[in-house]
Amino acid sequence: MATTYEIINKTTLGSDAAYIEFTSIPDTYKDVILVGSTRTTKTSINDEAELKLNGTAITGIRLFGTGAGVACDTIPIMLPTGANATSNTFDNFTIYIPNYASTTQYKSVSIDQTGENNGTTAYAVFIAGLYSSNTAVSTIRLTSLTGSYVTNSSFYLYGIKNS
Amino acid sequence: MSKPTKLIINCETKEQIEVELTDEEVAQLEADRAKAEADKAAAEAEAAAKAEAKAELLARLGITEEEAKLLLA
Repeated sequence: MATTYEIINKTTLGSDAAYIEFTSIPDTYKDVILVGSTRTTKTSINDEAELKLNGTAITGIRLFGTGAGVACDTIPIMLPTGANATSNTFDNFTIYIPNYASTTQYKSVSIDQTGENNGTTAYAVFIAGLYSSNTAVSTIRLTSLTGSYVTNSSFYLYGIKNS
Repeated sequence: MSKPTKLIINCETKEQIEVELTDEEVAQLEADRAKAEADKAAAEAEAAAKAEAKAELLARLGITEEEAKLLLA
């Protein structure tokens, strides 16, 4: 990562977890970015995962491709790789929150996620999200909506400095 | 049966704590899951309705989807 990025915290799961949550995020950066690589226990090619900021789910628009087509909806839910995808393969994702510490503005959220599956179905997801609150973001939670994130799923939270 | 667990990562203290969800948290998780399922079902129903309306329109116009794309290109 560029020198303007500083690692705030990181984790690689040693056991399954329904959700992971970064708390007490310092308000000293300009933006934050959460990157990671995940897989869940849902017995499907993909699971569904929800992002909550300060305990509130984001709203937004989602564009996703399945390998056979493209769809668009207003459900800002991520599609992590599930247990029926090719074994030992994980997705990758980026969640970018500019001006996360603002106390005067709502926060836009940009998410991209690419699943991994050696088959005809694999998901690529783009979400334009919104956290409709003037409260600085101090907690970020990712929840598997059907199963649990499996061991070796990783999450890295970076703060992006202004210079 | 054991409850699901959560991993809390405190960015101030650097502590990482894995704990079982409380009963309230399990209930909230299940509510979140139910809402996601309902939203998904609604989106799928809307998409199906649009596909049906599109098919009816194409039939009324007497053209195929490929011919419609050609017209709109």
